[in-house]
Amino acid sequence: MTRGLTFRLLLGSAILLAIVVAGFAVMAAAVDQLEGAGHAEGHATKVLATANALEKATLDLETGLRGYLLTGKQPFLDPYRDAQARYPVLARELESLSSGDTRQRRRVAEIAAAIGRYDRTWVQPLIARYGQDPAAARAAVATGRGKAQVDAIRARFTVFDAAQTGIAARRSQHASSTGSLARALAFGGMAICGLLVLVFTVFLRRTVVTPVQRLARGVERIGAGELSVRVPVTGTGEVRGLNAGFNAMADNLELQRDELENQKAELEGQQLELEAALAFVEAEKAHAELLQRFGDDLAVASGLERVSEVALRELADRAGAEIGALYVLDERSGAFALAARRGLGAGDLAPALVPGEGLAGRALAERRPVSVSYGETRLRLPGLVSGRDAAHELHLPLLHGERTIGVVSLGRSRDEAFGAQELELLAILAERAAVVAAEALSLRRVEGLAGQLETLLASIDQGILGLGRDGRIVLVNRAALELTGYTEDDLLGEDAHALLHHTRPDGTPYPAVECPIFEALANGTQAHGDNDCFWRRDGTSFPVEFASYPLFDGGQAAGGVLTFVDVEDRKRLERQRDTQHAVTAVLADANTTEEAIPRLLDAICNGLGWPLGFAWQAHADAAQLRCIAWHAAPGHEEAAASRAAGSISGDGGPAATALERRETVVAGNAVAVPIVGIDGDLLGIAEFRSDDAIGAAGLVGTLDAIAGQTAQFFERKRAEARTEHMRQEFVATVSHELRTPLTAIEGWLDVLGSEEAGPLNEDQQRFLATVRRNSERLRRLVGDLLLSRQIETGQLSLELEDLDLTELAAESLDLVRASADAKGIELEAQLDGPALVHGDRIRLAQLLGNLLTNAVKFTPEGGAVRVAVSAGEHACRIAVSDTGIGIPRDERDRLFQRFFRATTATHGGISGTGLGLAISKSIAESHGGTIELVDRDGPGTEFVVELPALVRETARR
Amino acid sequence: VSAERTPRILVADDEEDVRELIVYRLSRSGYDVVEARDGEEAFRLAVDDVPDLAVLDVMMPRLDGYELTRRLRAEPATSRVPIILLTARTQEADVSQGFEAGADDYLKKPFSPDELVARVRAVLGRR
Repeated sequence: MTRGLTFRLLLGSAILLAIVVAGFAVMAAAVDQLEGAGHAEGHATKVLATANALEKATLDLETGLRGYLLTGKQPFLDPYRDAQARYPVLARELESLSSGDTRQRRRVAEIAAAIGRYDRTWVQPLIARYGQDPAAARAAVATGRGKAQVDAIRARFTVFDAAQTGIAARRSQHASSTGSLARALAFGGMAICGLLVLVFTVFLRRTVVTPVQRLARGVERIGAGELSVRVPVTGTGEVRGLNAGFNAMADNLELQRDELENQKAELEGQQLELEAALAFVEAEKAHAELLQRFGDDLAVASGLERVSEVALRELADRAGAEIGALYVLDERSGAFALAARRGLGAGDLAPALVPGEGLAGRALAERRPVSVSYGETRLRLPGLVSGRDAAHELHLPLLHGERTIGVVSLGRSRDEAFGAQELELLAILAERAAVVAAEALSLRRVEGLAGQLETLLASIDQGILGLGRDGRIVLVNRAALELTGYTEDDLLGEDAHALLHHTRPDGTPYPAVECPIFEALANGTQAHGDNDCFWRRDGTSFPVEFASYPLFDGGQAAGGVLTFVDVEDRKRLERQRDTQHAVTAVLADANTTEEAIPRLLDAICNGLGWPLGFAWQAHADAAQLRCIAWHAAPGHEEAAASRAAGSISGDGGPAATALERRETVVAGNAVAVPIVGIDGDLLGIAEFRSDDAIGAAGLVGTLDAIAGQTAQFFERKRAEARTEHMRQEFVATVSHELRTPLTAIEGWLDVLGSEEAGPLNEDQQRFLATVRRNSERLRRLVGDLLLSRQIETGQLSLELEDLDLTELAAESLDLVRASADAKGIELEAQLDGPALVHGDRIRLAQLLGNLLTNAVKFTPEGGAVRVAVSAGEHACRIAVSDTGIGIPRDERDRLFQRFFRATTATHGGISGTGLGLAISKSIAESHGGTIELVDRDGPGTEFVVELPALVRETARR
Repeated sequence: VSAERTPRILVADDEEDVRELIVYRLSRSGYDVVEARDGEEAFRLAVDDVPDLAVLDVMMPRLDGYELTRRLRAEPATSRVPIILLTARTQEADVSQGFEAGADDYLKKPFSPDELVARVRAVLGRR
């Protein structure tokens, strides 16, 4: 069983505590003892004092007796009596004080008894006897028996006092010795305590502090990674356990670290294995790819040399031939030149073959494989000392259609003749190689041509590309590079369509199969185009005009030459010119600026391909411009609305700058054109936004021209409006100025006519009537002028009511009847009533009156005027016809214009203002109706007015 | 028309011929007529001796009929005098401008003198 450290510490502390407590207990006892000694001394003094008082009382008994007996006087008895009362009390007191000591108490009891006996047996009888026989009494005293008794008592007191003094001395001595002992104990205890504390501290240090410090250092070192650290297992209890635990933990850690290191090593081992496996797989894969590529290489190899090499290598590999050579047709010389060799030096082989000569030449001439064995073979395998002949040889012609492209010679040392099956396979491969070689030959030819042409081509500003049959670029000239922004390396070998022609101008993809160039190359035909664009290296495009001419090789299409020019400038100028034409057309066609502005924006935006256009109109305060119209291409409406709601001043855009400088400003993809009048007034600003940067040459000039045209148009329209306004003002003023005199004329005519100012004779009355008639005519003219002005300014107001046109026609007829009768004109009426309309009675009567008055006026005497009114389902119709002079055909379309008068009227001297029909037309139209001149030749005129019929339901109500 | 006193009418028109015609017609119809050649004179006369009715031309120099009407309406003494405006303007806006100024009636030129007398009678009868 292990005693815990706590237990040990508790035990040590308890021992220390017990010793300290014992020391203090001894000291406390000593103090108590000293205190007891003090008490004893006081007690002894008190006992002695009481004993003395009792002794004195005894003496008083005797003294009082003697005094009384000698004098016989009662006062001498007072001390006696006093003592007699006192002594029992004192005796009891003394007895109680001495109760702690048996012997002393016995002595007190004896003294008390002796005193009592003396009193009762001696004193009292003497006193009593003195009363009867004083002399006897005195004699008795003289005997001295009494005095002997008192002396005996006093002797007892002496003994008692001595005994009491002895007791006190003994006690005092005992107390003194006890105090010395306590002092000795106190000092001893202190020394022992100090020693014990020292011992305890040493114990703590040895068992707790030192091991813990050691442990702490150990933990630090472990923490620092020094896992081999151990601490001695010292100390006791838990500390010892702690040290042991630490060592165990360190062991454990070390063990785990070792394990981890082992695992890591193992993992590393596995990693290496894995890498080895991967490397193996990679190698296998590479091998497989290599094999795959052998086949593909041939297909993608470009250039005759490369094609030859690959073809030979592949064929030789297939045939297991260590040596071989490949000869290809040299088109310039017609000979077959060595193009590739395997396992042979250049010196071992003829640089060129002639068909028919040698085995390979035979294969060429006969266009069939030739194989030979031992002895016949010509190819020598190279050896260490001297070569030896190949065991078997094979010469395969490379045939492409009718052409013989070349020959492959293969030799192998393996003693196995070329079997039929092997030959068949190799022939197929040779055929394949021939096709590729033929293409390579074509390419070489084109390249050859290109080389010759290069210098020539460099001097041409048209872009020129030489294209292979597959559309790959084999040649470029300087201009082509400049136009496309590519370098020669970028272009050569690339698919021209995919690089330059991949997207249409509208941004949609341009599939190669739809490309005319591509098609022309494939078919060996020519192609032209001027609506496409080519794309530059930087992603921009330019409109292009191109032509593609085919190249032939032995009757087969072998590529082509593509020429192209950048027509951007031309197209742009065309667009600008077209736009300007469109603007001119709009300006020629538009009647008002309000109508013109949106159409101008549309024309410019559509013409120049801009999606956004705004018209900002200047107000009196030129700094304030308001957007009065805009053009937005589909998808741009929101942007347009947002811009139009804003302001152009102070936004830093081109419009603000244009406003400030009064000149066309281009900035980024926006342009602003101020429209400035002749007198320098800013009329407005046109602002356009493009998807791309605006900066085309000649654009500003075109826009300025358009702005000039527009400004002129605005000025002209403004001037027209001013003139029109002045004219209307004039009409208003004149009509007003005429009315005042008319008031005076007609008023005074009334006065005269009423004969208030005196009677008139017949002539005077007739003259007055003439004046009145002309005055009325004047008044009508003024009325018509005012009415026409109201119509013109849109201020004609109608007072509408339901009315019957037949009634109105009858009333109107009545009004002209007098003048018709005067000319002998017959009035006919065909009134198929009722013809109900919703209209202004006064205005419609005016309309009818105008038509009838005209009819009568323009109809010669004896003619006829006819009115027909009829009601249709939707419209009521009034026809007024006459047999008059008619209206010339070429003047009919101007008939309803204000102030227009037909030549027949002016030549005929028929008076009129030219307002009547214009007013009539306005009245009809303001009722939602029409007025027309019936189209017919010959004399006579017929006007037809149609007015909307009153809806039947309404009519019934 | 009050039986005790002949109603007094103020006529203001710068056109002498028209003014004379109106004066003649109204005098013949039994009214006491006071003439003014322009708006300012009319205003002075009206304030000096408040008339029973005023016939005012709109187009007058210095002070036109609308403004004169407004001033008469603003003057406590003349604020309740009936006013007939004579106008050569016939547009709705002109008419409403007259009524807004405080006129009781208006007459378009050219008008017949009998029409004027009838209107005068009507307006006075309203009072």
